[in-house]
Amino acid sequence: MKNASQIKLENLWNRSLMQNDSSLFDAGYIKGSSETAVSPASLINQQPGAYLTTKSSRTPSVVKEFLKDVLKPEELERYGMGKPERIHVRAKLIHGKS
Amino acid sequence: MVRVRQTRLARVAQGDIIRNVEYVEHVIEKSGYLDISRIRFPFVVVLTQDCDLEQDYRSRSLKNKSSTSDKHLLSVLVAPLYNLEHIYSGEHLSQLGQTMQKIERKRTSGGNLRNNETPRYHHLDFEPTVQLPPSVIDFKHYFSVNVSQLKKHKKKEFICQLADLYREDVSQRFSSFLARIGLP
Repeated sequence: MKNASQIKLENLWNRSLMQNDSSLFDAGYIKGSSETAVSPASLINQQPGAYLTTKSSRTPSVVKEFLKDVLKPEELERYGMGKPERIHVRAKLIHGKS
Repeated sequence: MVRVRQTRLARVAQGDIIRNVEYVEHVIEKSGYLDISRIRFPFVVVLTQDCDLEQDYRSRSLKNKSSTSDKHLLSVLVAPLYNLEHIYSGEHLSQLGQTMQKIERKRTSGGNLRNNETPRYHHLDFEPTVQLPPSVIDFKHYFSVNVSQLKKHKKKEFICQLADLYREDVSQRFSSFLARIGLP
């Protein structure tokens, strides 16, 4: 039985095929040549994470932006989009110096 | 493929994989302001020896509270897990503004990485039931986290624990990496 993520991936793939849209490949979502026939079944049966990679010319944010409507944040993390990030906090001391 | 346990122990345990652990880079107080810089790592693995972690937990628990703090740990050693694909492209620290060396997946360097023949890295390929992509531990990026803080954090952010043999393999390789001698 397909889970929600697999159904979303299939819909995305089908939409891409119908629209003759190469964005799935361009976004680095699918490995290999855009001319290679990759069926939805073969894509779904593989571990999705294996396909969610970024080409050197594509930043993770580009792929993330493309997929955010399709995958939940925790699914994006599962599929390897998480990277360490720096967080800065600046706070005013109420009593001045500690 | 690495075997894991999905059951969460109450205490911090060696081999625990925990999400969103923060490393404090610096805390600066200046002119009445406090500037704190932290790095949040999506996933880390606990490296501290399990016997030390167990003794720390027992020593602090109310039932077996010790008269001394001899067995208490100040901190726990952890190391970050990076996505294997990002390691290949050298982009795993791109959000920190750092470009790392690329590793060609089809060449010897890529093979050595996946076969755990590169001392600095440890490759983990998880079972499909685990919500983690193929990952790499970078031993060079180890850091420490407060024990009590990590124990609290683990309650909501625990992913899984590496099974015994696999965590011992990580531990042994980490020890070897730290003990390496650089010859001229």
